[in-house]
Amino acid sequence: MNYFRQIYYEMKHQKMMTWVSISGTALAIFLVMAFVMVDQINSVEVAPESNRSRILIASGFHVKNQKGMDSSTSGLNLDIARRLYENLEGVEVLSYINAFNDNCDVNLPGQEIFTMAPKNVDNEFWKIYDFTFIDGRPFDEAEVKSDAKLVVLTKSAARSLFGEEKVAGREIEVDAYPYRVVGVVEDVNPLLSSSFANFYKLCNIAGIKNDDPYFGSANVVMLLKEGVSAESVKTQVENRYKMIQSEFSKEGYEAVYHGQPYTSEEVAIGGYGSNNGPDLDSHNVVQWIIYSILILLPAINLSSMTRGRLRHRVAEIGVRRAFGAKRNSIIRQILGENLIITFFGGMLGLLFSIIFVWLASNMFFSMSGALEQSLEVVNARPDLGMLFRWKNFFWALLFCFVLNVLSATVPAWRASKVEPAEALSFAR
Amino acid sequence: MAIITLKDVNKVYRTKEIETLALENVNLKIQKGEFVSIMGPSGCGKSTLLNIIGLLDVPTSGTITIMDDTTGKMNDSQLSSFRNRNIGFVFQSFHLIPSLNVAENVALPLAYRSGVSAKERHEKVAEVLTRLGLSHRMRHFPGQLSGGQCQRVAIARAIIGDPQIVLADEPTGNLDSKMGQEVMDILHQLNKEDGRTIVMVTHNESQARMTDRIVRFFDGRQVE
Amino acid sequence: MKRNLLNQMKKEWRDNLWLIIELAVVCLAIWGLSMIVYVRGKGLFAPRGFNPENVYSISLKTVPSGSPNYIDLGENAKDAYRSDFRELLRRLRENPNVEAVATHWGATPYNYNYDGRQLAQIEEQDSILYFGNTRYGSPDIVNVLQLNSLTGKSRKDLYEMLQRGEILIGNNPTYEASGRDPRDLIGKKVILGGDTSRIYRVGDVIEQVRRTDYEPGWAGGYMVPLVGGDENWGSVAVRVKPGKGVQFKEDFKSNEDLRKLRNVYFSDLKSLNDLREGCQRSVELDIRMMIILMFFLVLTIFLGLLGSFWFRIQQRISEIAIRKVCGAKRREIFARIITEGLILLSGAIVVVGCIVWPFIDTFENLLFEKWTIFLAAEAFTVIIVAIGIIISLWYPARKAMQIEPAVAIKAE
Repeated sequence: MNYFRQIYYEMKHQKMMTWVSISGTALAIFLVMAFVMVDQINSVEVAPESNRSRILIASGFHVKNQKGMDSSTSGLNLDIARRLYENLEGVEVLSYINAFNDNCDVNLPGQEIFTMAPKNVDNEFWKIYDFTFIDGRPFDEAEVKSDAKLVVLTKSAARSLFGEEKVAGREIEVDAYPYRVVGVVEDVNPLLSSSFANFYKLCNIAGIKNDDPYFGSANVVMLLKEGVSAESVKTQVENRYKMIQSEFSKEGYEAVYHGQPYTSEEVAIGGYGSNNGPDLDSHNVVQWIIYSILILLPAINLSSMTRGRLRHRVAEIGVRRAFGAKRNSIIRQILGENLIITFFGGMLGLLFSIIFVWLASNMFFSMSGALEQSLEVVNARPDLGMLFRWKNFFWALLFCFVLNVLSATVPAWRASKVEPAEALSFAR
Repeated sequence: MAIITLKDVNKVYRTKEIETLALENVNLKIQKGEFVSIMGPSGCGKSTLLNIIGLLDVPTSGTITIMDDTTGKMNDSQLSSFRNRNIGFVFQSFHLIPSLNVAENVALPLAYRSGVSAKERHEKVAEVLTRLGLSHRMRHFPGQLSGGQCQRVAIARAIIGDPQIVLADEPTGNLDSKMGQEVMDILHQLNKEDGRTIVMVTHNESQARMTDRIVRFFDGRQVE
Repeated sequence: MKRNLLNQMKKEWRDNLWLIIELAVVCLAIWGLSMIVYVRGKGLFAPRGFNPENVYSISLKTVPSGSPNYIDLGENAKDAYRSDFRELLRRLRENPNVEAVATHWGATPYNYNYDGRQLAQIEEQDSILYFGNTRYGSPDIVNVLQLNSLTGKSRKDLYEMLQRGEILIGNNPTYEASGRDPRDLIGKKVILGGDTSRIYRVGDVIEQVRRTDYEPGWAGGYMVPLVGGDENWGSVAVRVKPGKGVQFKEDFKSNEDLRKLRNVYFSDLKSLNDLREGCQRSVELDIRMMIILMFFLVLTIFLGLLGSFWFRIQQRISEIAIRKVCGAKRREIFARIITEGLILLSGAIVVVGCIVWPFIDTFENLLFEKWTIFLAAEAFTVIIVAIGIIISLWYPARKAMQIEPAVAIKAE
């Protein structure tokens, strides 16, 4: 209570200092939270990727020959994919999707043609991602086995084509071939790159002709059982690589392991190809360097602000000490008061950062592989719900607290060291 | 019975260039219930003496015994509690905390004492302020009070913890003579009615003469 | 006067030390960021080696044989497919809005063609002559992209080289930095990626076409002629006459004859500019983040100095008042405060210099022109931070200037 009174008093009597302190804090939290939010989009769990932390994606196969010549692509031969990824311990669902998803011409017979981004998926795919069906249903196993020509449309695709949403059972043409719509799902935010598409085309990887012994069209998506760590699955896969290596060695080849299958976070930071894996560690190191610069610099500023404010209160500290305040209680009081300012500024900063990141999302988010898709995808904007998360609030609080400790501890400690006699005579 | 005893107290202030002897070989006994004035020209060491008695400063050598406790061996935290329980301060420039209202300023010593409930605190504050005729000013801020009222608030703060000793450093120095007299009356009242020991630094000869004893200082030495 | 200032600053050494540390960290960050931005941005302003305006990319597709839309052409299906594609290309070329049409694989920039291979002489396959990104194109690619010869040859000459089956090599800084001149390769007989089944002659050296505008110049590239003419290559690149882009897109959409012939059709028309935006998004994002970061770092400095000096001036009111009484002019007081800030900056620069000096060789390896970039970035940093300092001290300094000596001394 008295803390608030003190802040109020300072706001009135030391306007400049207090406002510089508050805006400095707001700026620091704003900036650091903007960076945190941009980064946490990589791991945010919203439909249809509510199980993100349990989803692993395997893509890419890299082979070296004796001369050191490399070949690699993102798609695997289905047989290799099965040997590497099927029947792993701790995996609940396993889905094969097509590694290549070129844009398609989609239209109603004889009508306007739309260019749309597909995802070529099987029946298991729908068990991994929690899509919301507005109409119809996903593909079933028999349909996938028989290579049926079926699609699931997103709401906006259905609207563009039919002008309505409930279109299960209707016919469309995809790249000049007739397909039947079996379901319609809610749109997916393009920032959720492993589930996003304009429509989902049934794909049976086994049905794709493939003569290459290593490479093909298969990518693997898996959902782990509750409580199973990605590491344990990676270790199993690494062992499988070693197993197939014995065969490869006979032909003078080497299968190079790059840490597959990848977690959603690894997929989202990108920067990897079929012949090199994502480097989440160095990404995180860079992130934390940025965070610490963004916290440390303002902390230096704020600490000189705090010291400045305290110099006006030397006499007060002297009086408190004279009447029996111990050093600890002086430190506690100053930290407490400062925490309120940091909090106030911090929440202001958090609010700004949410608004800013949302409004200026163009500046922050990029879609890897956007070339294959449309500019609408490139300019994706996160839903507010993806930014406004308790986790972020918690991070902001944590940063406020760190900022407070960094900026106020030394000044508070020094203030508590002031000898009351000196403080009182100084102030006279 | 002596409540405050100073024995061979010396205080030297050292800076890089010079050494200043603020107190030289001071021996002083103050009896329980006594009202003592300390007089002398500016810079003679009066305030230093008061700070040392108030345990706000430590002597370079010599011992201070207050209420039979030798204070030299106490650590900072023990000194703080000792001050809190046994000593009240009144300053020339009041030193009220501007961001706190009258009641909160007065309650300050109790805030640093454990085991005092909020209810007790409120009652105490009300009691002390009523005694000093300030109960109607409880919610006011120091900035809204006259100098005399401020000093009365400061006195209320000095006695709320019920200390045996009240130290007053030129309590009327910033007040006109009428208000000054009011404050002096209160101090005498505290001395006579409550039996508190009062040590006051003053420049005012006539105020000093009203007290039990005058101790004069010159250049750090006790001359009388 | 200056001496006095330094003495005074010495007295406040603790505060000043913090300010110098803060300035040094900010300078270091801005300086590092500006170097990265410079290196990235340099690519943006470097010659592109082609002209991206008015270029469109089109995909080639076929109607699958199971579709009800499939036109059964019996035994001739395979030949019909080729002749129909050729006919579609002819129709495109004859469109009044079109200047040139080429078929290619990975030849236009802003794609994800990461096919890199070595060029070697057939006699010495182990000694690599050149390494680069492989792009295949029909001769007209020279006109669609408007490639430039580095030896003064005309586009017609380059066109004829591709037609003769010769390859065109791009220059690149890495190659030149190792003391070799790509022009020495002209006329050499080479094989690609160890494939001895086909031997190419190096026709000419062209101005390097990078994969994206931001890509540093050290990824080489070369153009290989398509085997067997136009057919069977999935992508078509079109150069439209200047100012005719909208009309061309309109024609493409409305005129089915331009798009489709029996079982062959074109789809997914995109301008190279759109492709560039999609492809460079993540690099531009990085650069933008760095610029935002620099801006906010300067803002942090601004707030820090504003606050510190505001406080200092409050502390020094009486001192300033006495200076004024003793005849100091308002301008001098103002200048004194600004000078104080700039002295702090020089302190920070010295600190930065000491930190960076040991790593200077690393930079030399990273950048080809060590000193220019190094110093340019340093100068840029100093200017930016100095501007920040002056702006942040302006208000406190003015405040100090306006102190009324009489009032100030009385207040003390």
